[in-house]
Amino acid sequence: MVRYVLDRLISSVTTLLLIITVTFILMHAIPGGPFDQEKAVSTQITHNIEEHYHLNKPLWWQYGDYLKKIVHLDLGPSYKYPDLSVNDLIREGFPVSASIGLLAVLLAVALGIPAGILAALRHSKWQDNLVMLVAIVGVSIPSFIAATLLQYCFAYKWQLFPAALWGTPAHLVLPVLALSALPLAFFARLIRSSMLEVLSQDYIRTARSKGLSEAAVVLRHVLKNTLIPFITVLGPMLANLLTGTFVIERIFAIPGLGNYFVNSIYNRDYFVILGLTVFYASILLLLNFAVDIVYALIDPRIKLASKEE
Amino acid sequence: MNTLLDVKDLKTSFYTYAGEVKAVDGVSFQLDAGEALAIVGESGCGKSVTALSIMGLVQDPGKIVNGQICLNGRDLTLASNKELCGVRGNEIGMIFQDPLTSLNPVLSIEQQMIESLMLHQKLSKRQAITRGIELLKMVGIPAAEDRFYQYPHQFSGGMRQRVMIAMAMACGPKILIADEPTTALDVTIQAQILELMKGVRKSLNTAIVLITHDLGVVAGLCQRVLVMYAGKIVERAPIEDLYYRPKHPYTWGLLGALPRLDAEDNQKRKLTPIWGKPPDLLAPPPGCRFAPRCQYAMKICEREVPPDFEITPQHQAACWLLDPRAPKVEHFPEGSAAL
Repeated sequence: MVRYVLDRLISSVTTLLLIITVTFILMHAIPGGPFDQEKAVSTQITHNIEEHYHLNKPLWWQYGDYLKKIVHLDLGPSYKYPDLSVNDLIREGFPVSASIGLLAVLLAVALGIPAGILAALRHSKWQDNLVMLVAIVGVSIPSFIAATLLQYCFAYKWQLFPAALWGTPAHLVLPVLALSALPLAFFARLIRSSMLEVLSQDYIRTARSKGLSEAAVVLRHVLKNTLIPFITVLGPMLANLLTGTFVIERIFAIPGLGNYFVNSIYNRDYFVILGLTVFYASILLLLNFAVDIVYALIDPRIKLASKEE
Repeated sequence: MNTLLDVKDLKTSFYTYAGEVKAVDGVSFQLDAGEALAIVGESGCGKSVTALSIMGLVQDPGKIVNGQICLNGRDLTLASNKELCGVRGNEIGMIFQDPLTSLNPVLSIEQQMIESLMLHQKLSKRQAITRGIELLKMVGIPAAEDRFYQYPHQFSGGMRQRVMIAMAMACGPKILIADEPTTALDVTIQAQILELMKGVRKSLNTAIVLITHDLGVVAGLCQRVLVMYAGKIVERAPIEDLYYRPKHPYTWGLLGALPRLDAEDNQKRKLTPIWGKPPDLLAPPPGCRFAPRCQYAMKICEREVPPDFEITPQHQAACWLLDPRAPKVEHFPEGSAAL
């Protein structure tokens, strides 16, 4: 087990290094730099700025310098917000994005799983049809439309919740709803199809032949098997939602990470691009690792072992 | 002998988009306590559906539409779902064709064995574990104390079928229904499993309903055979009569398709298949359902359903050839001539 964790750690670091390298190359391959402006600026100013941020040094030097900083968990400065480092940006933005993302995932799990189970148990009855209809709507409507609709109905028409901005718990409601629609519908469909497959397995017939009640069959024999594909998608989806979504944060004017991420690319804010990529990748790797551990807990056929063992 | 299970005119249909599929169409038979009965026939002739009907496990869109299934005089078709749960696994145990998929892969043998013991016998968990290990020993699993806590993927196919038998026998049922228990196993393991079932039957006096398409498997275990074709029983006979004096052309066909080691002209004799396919049960033939494939079919066979003709009190066959007015078949078809 220790060996396995160690192996995973090494492969994770390698992956991160690869991600940094590719991002670094791509970033510098895009034409334009952080301080290019339409107005002509004196060469002295440009020179001073470049000097300050070491932008006049060769790329390999900048690359090495960045790796050195990363080892000390310093993600570098932001060109756009000179008062803030990338670490500061994450410290401010991540809790905001994560709270919306986590609530959205919780809501999606809390409603999507029961809905999927209900649909599977009432296969091709009206409950199933209803759940699948709602799920198709949820999957098909883009989040910006859902968000705008929610704003129109709940904020403008009925004035129940604030339309945008950040601060009180009431500000959370609309973005969480808008963000959870897609994962909720997705989970419901996934659980339904996974459960229908499990229900048709021979071992379910065996369980029934033992005289177990239908409830006992579902609870003891169906659920665990049903959750395996769900856990697979939960990891990446959680990483995605925790680190913020540009569209939702834009529409609700929320100071989350997603906003910074997209803007940093327009601004060629090199350290922000790199820093947020590394941050996102780390969370993704961490959650995938967690998923693998949960797999091993649920499914006895899966053993956590490194290849050499 | 007292009748344990009495199935009368059982009809089970599946309601599909294309129409009603009459998978089991008027099956009647009796099973005595401690008896071993075989139901044979090719795939899709309603053997398994008959078994699932007895267990009350026919799933949507299937339904028992007619008939009685009396277990000790109690009609199971009228029983509530809760009552049926008290019968399944307790009074009737069942094992299935594919032991590789019939055990839940994410639960240990322990978890899967103790649940019926705790449910039906009201044992405590500790008692159930002790009993479960005993059962594993009974079915011949070595190191049962350790194996009990392992998972299905750590067992071979034959071992899993042993576990299935142990689970089905856990509560000492009066009937064990075995649905193609040896089909997915290789021949040596088949023999072991059959021996085991024979032993279980002898020591616990459990009646066995063996469902199979393999007449070779039947011979060693059962006393009586029902031959099913397209949802109906076409011939019923004690085992000796069926092998030596078969009366229905379909039975001839089944026997002809059986490889034999003891036939004199073994080199020359080729296995004779039954040509064609079983009829579409959405629209079965109006007369005898075997008529389209039967080389002895007469005009009446295509028009009217043959009644059961009695050869001896234990031996009946539903074939117009047995009518006194019908021409006599002089020879068995090629294959079964050696019988």
